[in-house]
Amino acid sequence: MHLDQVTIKIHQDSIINSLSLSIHPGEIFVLMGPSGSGKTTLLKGIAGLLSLTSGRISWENGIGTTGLVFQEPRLFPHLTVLENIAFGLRVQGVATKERRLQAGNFLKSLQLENLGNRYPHQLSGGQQQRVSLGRALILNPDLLLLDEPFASLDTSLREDLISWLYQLQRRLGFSILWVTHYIDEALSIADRIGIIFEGKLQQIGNPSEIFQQPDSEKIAHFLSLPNRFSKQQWQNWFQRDLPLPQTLNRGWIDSNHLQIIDEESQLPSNGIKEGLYSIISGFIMKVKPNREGYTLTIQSNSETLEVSTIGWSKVPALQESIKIKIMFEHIYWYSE
Amino acid sequence: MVKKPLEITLIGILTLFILLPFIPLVIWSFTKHWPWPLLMPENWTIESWTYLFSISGRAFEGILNSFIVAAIALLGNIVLGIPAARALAQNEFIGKNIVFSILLAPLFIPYTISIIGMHDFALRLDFLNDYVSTAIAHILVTLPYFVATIWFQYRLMGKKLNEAASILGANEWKIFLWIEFPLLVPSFLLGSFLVLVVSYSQYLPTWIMSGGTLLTLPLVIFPYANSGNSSIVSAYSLLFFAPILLLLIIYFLLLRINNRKNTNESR
Amino acid sequence: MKKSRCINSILIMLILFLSACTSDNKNETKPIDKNILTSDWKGIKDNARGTKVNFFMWGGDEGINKYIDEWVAPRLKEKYNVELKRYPMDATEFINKLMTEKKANKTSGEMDVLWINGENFKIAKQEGLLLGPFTEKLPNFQNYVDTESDDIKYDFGFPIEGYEAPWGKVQFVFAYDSSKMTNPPKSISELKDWVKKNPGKFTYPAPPDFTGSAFVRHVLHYQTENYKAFLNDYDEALIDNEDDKVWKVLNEMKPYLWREGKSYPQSIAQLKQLYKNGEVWMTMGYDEANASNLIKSGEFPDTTRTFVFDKGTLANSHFLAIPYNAPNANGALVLIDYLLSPEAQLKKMDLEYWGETMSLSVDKLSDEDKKVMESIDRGKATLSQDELSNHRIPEIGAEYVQWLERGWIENVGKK
Repeated sequence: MHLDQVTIKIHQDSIINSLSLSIHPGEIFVLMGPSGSGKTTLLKGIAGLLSLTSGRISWENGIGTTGLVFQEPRLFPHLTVLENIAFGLRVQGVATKERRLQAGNFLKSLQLENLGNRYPHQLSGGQQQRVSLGRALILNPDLLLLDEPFASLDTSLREDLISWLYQLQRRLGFSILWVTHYIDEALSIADRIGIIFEGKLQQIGNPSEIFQQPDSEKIAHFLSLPNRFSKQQWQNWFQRDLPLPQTLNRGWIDSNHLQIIDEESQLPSNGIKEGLYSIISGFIMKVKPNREGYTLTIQSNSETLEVSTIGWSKVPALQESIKIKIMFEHIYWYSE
Repeated sequence: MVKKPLEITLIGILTLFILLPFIPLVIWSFTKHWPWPLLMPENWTIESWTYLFSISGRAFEGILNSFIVAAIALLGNIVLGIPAARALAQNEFIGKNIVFSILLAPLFIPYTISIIGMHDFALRLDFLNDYVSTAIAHILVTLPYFVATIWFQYRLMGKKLNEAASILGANEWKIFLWIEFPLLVPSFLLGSFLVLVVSYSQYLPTWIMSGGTLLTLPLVIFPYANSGNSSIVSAYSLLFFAPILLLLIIYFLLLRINNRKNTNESR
Repeated sequence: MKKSRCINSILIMLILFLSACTSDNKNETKPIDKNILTSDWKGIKDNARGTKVNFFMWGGDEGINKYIDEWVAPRLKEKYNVELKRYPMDATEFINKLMTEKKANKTSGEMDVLWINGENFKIAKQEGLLLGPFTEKLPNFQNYVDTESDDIKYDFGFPIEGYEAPWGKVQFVFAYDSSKMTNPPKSISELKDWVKKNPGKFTYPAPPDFTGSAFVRHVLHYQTENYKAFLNDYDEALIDNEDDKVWKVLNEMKPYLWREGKSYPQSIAQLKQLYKNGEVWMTMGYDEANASNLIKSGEFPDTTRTFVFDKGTLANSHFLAIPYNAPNANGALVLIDYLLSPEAQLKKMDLEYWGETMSLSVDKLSDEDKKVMESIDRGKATLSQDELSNHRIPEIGAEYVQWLERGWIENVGKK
């Protein structure tokens, strides 16, 4: 599906601004952006709930169908699970018998066997959302539009549903345009990720590109990347001019790439050639345990840095003085 | 569920309060003479009831005419009221408040003023059949009740299910028929009940629009109201309440059927 | 967009609807054929055949309603093939209706025959709301009615001139419970004495109630020396001399009335209710047979009897008229003529339906009909025809009636 210069205005306000995007068949495209950035509007525009002010939508095979799943299940309360799933077929005029058969078969892949005659209020939240997905999927849409479909579910249920949907998608081969604000959700399933601000796509790339190489400080900030500093600050730490192009005036480094240097550990070991590095000192402000070890917040003069330690061998103490080694090659540079 | 004794007592007292005024009506309808200090009349007779159902009593004629007018009024309410309530609940447009106020106006405008307007209206609609012109006046009087009831339910429903159905390919008409209407049923029943009962109780609009010639039940009863004949008046009053009671029972039955349909299989 | 179209259509309907309330609309119905009044009786009867006639009349009495629906209607159908439909409506209402129709130039209305008298007739005739004169067309009017008597020529002092046909006569009578009192008062002064001796046992409906107003006229009749003057044209000077006498008697009675005269029954219905309940011992009414009727139906105690004053009680006639825009004037004439037939008038006297005095002259009846008349049971509470006709006083002019009603409110009711 291709969006070509799509603009959507609501009450004279441009919500989507001349946006172009292609989603390939079988692809999962995750759309991320702060609230109010136009994600839901774009989905509704593609689904036909909102009319495009200008621009156009085209499909590989000339015409394409979409299905949209909302954050809330929006099931029809007066219809059974089976009738909810079969609703789209009923609209298309499929005979009662035939659509009951199709919907019945579909229940299995939704893992909702034996619940066909229940009413929505008799289902759990996860089951309801599966019915909602099934209701869209039974029509074999070319593109499934998901508007934070699992946001209201608890974490473990959400993860289960994501992997279930992921497998279903790989099996059936439809493409997905998936709006979410969960980074883990995006990382685990996305083929590509797009970042949208104020109705405009800021950056498109595969998950590692987006997370390691943000195009701008705005994106880096949105993704909550740690240890983002201006070139000037870095130069202060390295105490020299860094050889970088003019446009790349900011850099970030992953907290795993910052190395804590113990008092005992030796400085540059012999033999191995090391690149440019800097050692800065500070003291521990905060200690946050995580699965691998600890995340430390280090205060160095007026700046704070985030450092991850791997292993549990030594429990860092608050206010402890500490030295950190920063390798220049691990800093990713981007523009303001 | 076991009800608490207090609850039962309260319900009992409430029922008594509702039924109490009917007791003297029933007694009066079976006697011509019930002087004040006597607890019970000395002579009983069914004369009032036989009169009611005689040619002169016009009980059947009145009920039939009332029913026809109420049915046309209900039809008009459905045709006009549902789209109006839907538009008012789902759409934003300029002048919405004005349209809403006009629709609800008959509830607030003093009765006498609308009656004055109606006299003129009656002359202009003279070319219409009495049933139709009377029903039009009844629609004016009942529409606010109907629109308000349906509007309220539409507001509760919001547009979320409409969007969901629209994405699955349903057009406006199918959305209305398959999604909105089934969910409107409880308020549709309530609105229809109100329309029928309000239409059924109208006296002046019927009188004015038909020139006193469409003998609905209130028009049949009214001449006796001032005659001082308590027996006849009591019998007519009971006759008047019977269809309302019947409608109430039908309303609750339909509501229950609808609820059961929506909650069956719940274990 | 679909939705806005829907709203637009609703708005358009509203606008159309509102504009329909103000726009002009010419009535296209045919005016009635004025030639009716010049065609002969046979032609009228032929033209009426197969038609429907709408009779608008007060509808609060079962007996009268049954008389029309169960006795007259089937016979009219059988004899003349004319269908009769009765519509219950008070006279003031159908006069208002006619006035509105006249203003709107509505040339074909809904009403064919009206039951009317007094003030309403006067207004209707003055405003040109009636078709006529028509009474000379009616064979039964010519044959059986005493066309020269005052109560056929005048209705509450107003000349009839053939615009209404007399349907019946009623006389004001008082009713009392003979188990509670004997020797009912025979004059206003005796009534006053009785009331003082039996406080709380008498009251009358507050004018302008029809019956209450008539009661006050009896006081006027008793107090004034020149009652006859009140039958003529309105004269303010006459009032100034007489009114204080009337209020004086009523105010003397007041403290001894039901509830010490602090409140009055608002209608004759309320007074009858008080009498039925035994709270008061006397009632009254402009219908000499009403007490017998109510005994028969079990509403009044069996011991109820009626009486008239020695100086007499008011009597008047009531009439049938045809509106100017009657859709079926032929049928209307046929109906009125039939209602004036001895057959229909004698049945009307029968207590079974109505029990009311006929408007025909007894002298003009055939011997056979006279016999039938004598055999009619008018009920034990009804006074004899002789007793009634010997104690009749005529009604005064409508302006005087209104003056008495207003005066009562000012000088008695509010005090």
